[in-house]
Amino acid sequence: MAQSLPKLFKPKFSDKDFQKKILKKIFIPKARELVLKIYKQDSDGSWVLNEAYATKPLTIDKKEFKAIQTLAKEIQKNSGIFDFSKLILVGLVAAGLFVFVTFFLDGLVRRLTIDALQAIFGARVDISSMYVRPWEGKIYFSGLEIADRENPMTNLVEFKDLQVDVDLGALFGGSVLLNRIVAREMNFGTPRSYSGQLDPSPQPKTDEVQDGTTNTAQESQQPSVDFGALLETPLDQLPFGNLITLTKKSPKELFEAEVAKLQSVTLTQEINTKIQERQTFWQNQVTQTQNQLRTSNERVTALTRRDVRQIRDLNELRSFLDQVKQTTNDIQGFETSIRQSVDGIKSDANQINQWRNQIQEAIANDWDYLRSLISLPPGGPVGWVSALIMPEVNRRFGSQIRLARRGLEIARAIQATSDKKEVQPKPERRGQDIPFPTARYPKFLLRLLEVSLGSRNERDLTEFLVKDISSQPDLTDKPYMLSFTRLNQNKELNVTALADLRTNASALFTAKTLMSNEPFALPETFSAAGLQNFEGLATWEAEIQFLSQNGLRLAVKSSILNPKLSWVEKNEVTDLVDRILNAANGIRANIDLKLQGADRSFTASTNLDEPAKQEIERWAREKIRQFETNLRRELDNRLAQYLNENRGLLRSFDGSIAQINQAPNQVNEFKKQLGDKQKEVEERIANWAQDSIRQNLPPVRLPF
Amino acid sequence: MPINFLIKIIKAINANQRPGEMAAAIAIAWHLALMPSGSGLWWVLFLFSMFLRINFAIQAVFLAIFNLFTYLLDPWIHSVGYALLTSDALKDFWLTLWNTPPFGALGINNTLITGGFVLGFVFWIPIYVISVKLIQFYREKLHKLIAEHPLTKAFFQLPLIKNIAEAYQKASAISNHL
Repeated sequence: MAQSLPKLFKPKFSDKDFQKKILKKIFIPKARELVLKIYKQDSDGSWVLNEAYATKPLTIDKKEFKAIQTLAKEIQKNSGIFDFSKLILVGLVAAGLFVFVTFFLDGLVRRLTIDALQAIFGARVDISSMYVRPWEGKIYFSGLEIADRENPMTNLVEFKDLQVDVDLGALFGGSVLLNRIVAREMNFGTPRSYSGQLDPSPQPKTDEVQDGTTNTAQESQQPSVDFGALLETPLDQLPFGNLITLTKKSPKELFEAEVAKLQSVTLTQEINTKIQERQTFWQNQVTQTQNQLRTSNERVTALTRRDVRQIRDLNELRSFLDQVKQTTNDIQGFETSIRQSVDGIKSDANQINQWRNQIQEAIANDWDYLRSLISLPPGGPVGWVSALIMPEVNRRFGSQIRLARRGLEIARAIQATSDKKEVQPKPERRGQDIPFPTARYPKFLLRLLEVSLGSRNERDLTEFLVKDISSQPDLTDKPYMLSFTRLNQNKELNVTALADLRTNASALFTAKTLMSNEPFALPETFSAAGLQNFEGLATWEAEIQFLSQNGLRLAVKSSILNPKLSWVEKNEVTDLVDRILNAANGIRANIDLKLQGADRSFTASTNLDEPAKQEIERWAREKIRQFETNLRRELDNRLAQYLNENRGLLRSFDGSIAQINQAPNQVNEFKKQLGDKQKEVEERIANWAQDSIRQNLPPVRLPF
Repeated sequence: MPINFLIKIIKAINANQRPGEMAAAIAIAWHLALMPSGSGLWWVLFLFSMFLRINFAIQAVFLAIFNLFTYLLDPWIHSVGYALLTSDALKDFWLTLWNTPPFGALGINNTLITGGFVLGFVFWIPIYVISVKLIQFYREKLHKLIAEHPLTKAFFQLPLIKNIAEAYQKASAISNHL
């Protein structure tokens, strides 16, 4: 026998409540019939239990009572579309989680972190402060110290800041956005003020031990960075080696080393041989001519000395006349031969003059060559200083160019991998992905990764930075950035690399290097140049860019402050360098090289320009002038014997010319004498009949 | 497990459970079946259904049934999704939605997901209304005919079905009592 109806079935309902709470929640006819069997409606419209169901205990059978109980449960379940019980449960869990996170999470994470690290390292772990912001994706530790189990008064490692910041909003948007991953001022082996043993037995601070440890630690962390070895390039290979040559070699040594390359000596010898040959030939010609002149003179003299008035015989006169005519003809043939010789020797004289010009030209060329060995290179002092720096730039930054290329390859590989992941096909029911432009975040973005060792305040810091690593650089609109900084007291080295994979990036890769306040060390090569010591603080700033179209841009700024030079032996060159440096108040140089398609430029400037220009030019020109004089003397000495020989030959040749040139005059004299004689003979023959009659007829006496 | 589902379904249909709960389960199953399972939006809708007072057994069974043929509708769903996603009028809406976390992770740029989601909504009310009417029709008209039909009685005399029938009887206590 049942005791009472379920509480849902109250003894009395208003009509409105009965409709709302009971009848509207009944959806099967038999359930409705059951309810209407339990309740009846009064005259005032209210619903009350029938007598059979209003009694206590109930008088209905057990089977019917169970049916009523089941119906009551189902009516209670039919209470709206939302299951508020689940919503409330989720709400309570969320509220509990919120309260836990707000008030207890920091402490719990702190405790768990300490316990976990202590279990791992077997030594005390301290955290100055920390917080966790799961809603913001942040976790932050400050002053995290892990003691050394073997040396409890020393920290194994210490972090000033340790934080991770992930953008959860972007994570829900399908992107991995790491705002910050920072491990700042990480230090190893720092002293502790109390023991790091897990057994908490505080030890008094021991200044001596601490100080000793500190000093040892600091000493052990002193970097053994050697930024010396400046200019390892052999001096002879430097573009301004000529200047150094002046200080290293005498003019005679330089001339002997280069004489095999000189043409004037050999040419003078060859031309002297040719002149000698022509001179021999013409000397024979002169001898022959002189012999002929002598013979002709004898013949002419013999003819002209004969007194034709003494010749009585006409035939003899005629015979004598024939001799004169024959001799005249011979002389004329001789004259023709002499004139040919004159023409020939004049031609040879012209040839010899050309040879002499060739010798002078060869001497001039040789002299130009010898002067070029001691002249200044083109570009002036700016170019010389640039050329001095370029080998060092290549030595210092050549490895960075290789690293930059490697970094570019890695960055491209990251992007290629990211692209591949995006296009992976889904196995089934793929549909089509409409490529909406993403305006907020790429699939992966690391805004900042920072790891640093040491302390900036103590000027002993090693820091690595990575910024803006993105799977879609166009979206972040920033290049990848990697940075390394080493700070040691006053010295600082900073290398920053920018890999720009944006679509229209003008510079694909940029590497910037800054080395400041590096003490200068003297390279061995400078010792050879007479430099004993070179003190100063050097700062190097270089920027290498890989441009589009396989272009390259290199910009270098270097400066050496307070340069102090000491020399093995003072001389005019050392004085010159000292004067330049004093005038310049430090050394600063800029180089800008750009190679991109047809755009090729090289500019260089230095603060040494003006003082160096004035001092070097003055010194160099004076030095060169002296050297030139001596070198010219060497050349002249070497050429002297050949030129003397040449001059002797030319004098002989001139004598031959003079002798040959005299021959025609003599021949003309012969011809004149013979002509006169011929005329005399012909007159004698013409007067011969008159004279003969006058001599053979008796004198006629006139009658009156 | 299938028998449990079957018992729960039979119990729900024959008990005093609100027809809307069962109709909503069928409509949500239809909605889920139209979208590729496992996508972000599918899971959001599925988890949302967990907070509704619906019959999960009916939802599971009808989801399995619908999945048998909804893939045949993929070309049509794709066309609808493509038309919606490439519509100039809706361009700003999709861009805003796509770039607003966490909607970007729900795969709304996929034609099948968006097409299935929208078509599910469009057909939700008709399926719901039809389901309610069918359940009411069954409860008021068919239930008595089926339960008292000789074939039904013969069927429930089979040994295997007896066990199910016992469960049915147990679950349908109200009906049996009444």
